[in-house]
Amino acid sequence: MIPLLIPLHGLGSRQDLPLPLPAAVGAAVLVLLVSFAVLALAWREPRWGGVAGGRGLPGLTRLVDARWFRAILAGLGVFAFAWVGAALWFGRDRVTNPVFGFTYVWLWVGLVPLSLLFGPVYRTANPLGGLARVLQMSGLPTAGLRPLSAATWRRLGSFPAAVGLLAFSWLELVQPDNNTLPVLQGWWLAWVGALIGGTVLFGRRWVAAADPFQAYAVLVSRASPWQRVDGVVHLVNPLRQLGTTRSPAGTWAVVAVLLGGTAFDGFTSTSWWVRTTQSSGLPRELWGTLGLLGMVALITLTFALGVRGIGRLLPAGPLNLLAASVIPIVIGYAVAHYLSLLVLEGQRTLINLSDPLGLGWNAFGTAELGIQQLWLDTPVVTSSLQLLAIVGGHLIGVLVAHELALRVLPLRRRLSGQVPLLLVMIGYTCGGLLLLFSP
Amino acid sequence: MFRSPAAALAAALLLAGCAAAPAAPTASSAPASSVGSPATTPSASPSGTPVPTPSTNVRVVEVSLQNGRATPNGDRLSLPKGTILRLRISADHADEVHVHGYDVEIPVKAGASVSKDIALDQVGRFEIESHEPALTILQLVVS
Repeated sequence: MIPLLIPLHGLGSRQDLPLPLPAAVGAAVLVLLVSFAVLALAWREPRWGGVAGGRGLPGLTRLVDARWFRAILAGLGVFAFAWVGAALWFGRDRVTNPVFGFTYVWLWVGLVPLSLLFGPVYRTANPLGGLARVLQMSGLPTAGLRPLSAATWRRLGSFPAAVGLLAFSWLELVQPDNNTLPVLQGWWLAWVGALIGGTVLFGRRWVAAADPFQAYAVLVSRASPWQRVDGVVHLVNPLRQLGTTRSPAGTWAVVAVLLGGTAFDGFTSTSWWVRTTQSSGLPRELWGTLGLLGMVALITLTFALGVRGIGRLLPAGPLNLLAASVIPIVIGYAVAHYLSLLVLEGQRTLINLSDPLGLGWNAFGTAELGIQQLWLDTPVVTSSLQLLAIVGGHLIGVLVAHELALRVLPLRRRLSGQVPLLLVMIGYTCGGLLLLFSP
Repeated sequence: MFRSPAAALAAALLLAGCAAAPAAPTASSAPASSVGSPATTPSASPSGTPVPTPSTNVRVVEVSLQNGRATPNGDRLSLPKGTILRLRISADHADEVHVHGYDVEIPVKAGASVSKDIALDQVGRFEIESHEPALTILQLVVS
């Protein structure tokens, strides 16, 4: 009846301490001050006016565009997914199977620092992109069997990826037994199936439009110091990159799903949520689904309200333009919530990766490594990093919103038009602090 | 421009937060003490601070798993590092209680009760869960 000593929940078994109340309140006050200081003191004319720039790096461009370099990255991607794919299909259904840590920690959480530091490398390493190329080389038309018009692609933008990200959030936060092999196998099949099926029908562009991980990586890479300008890699001010890169249609949905998902994750560990859902007669999955959708809806609604001060809700209008300003808040949330998880479970995954099939291998020599606690035994360091991420993300977001708003607002509403969005962003950040304080 | 003053301010606030830290446990121990001394449980020791070990602080929590419900029901329990947490579990069905992070699994037989001591030597927030059905009994905060 009771399973043999197999821990059911191996991942993330230790969570960060709640933020001390004075620190949370202090940070909230700081957020308010910083926000209005930006409004009052920052530049009054668009600083970059939508023109990208920075220091061009032709040598680096030649390197990263070299066939062999791209082949190595793509090869690494294929190898990594083949390795954990073997663990997924032929490994043992235990918490020591590396596929769980790879999916929920390395891939989902690790994409953020990877893309922030190195730009959109995941796009090159993504094995699904490689698979799409292989399909094309074996005779599939570039535009697929049912080509879509350019206008349709423009309208689609990142919406398919937003749906995929919502599905992943549901898997991560609601799906029962999400760290058992059969469940994860089903989701991997659905993911690969949707991507390859779409590629066959609509061509290679589908991967960029629909792969949730690639979309997340590309979104985060817009806050990195690397940007391509006219094909040349530039070292840029991340603020400028966020303020000048184009947001495809549906970027607001991607941002809302990411922010809503992380917020909901924090929300589920409040005692109020635990008590309420456990005392009710309704199934936990129903609560989780409604809670996740409700949180994403709340973010979408508040964002739309905040943006109304800046302009009408046109599909390609301010909603998408200003979604760029929420990207740093998304990153701040992700770092604050998941950095400790990445550090601890990331190491555990590295250890487990040496033995994907549970046969006692030590393929990479990592099987015997211990887990370093690093700063995690010193809660004040963790909470400082959390506050820095949240407040820093907020500050950058507000600056980007300011720049973008200046570009589109008529002169007489240049300041007043920004206030609603500023208030909404303050709401997101203070909400994030409240969730870290975790009442 | 803003970043370094902001960082300095955040750090200062944090230090303030640390200095004021003793305030936090008193605030959060209110639900905890109601956890420790429920009037309904049979072998309840009056305050939750009984028993032989005089030097270490022992916190007794009565856990009951009845009719698919858990008592306590997901409450927050904040304890200082070094405390011994003594779980006294009774259940009307066979179950197992899992203390996350400490990786302690406590099997419970139907209609029986069991007591288990856990030395709280790791800082963090940990869930204490039952498995049949999966319910969060306590959120243990060790600081």
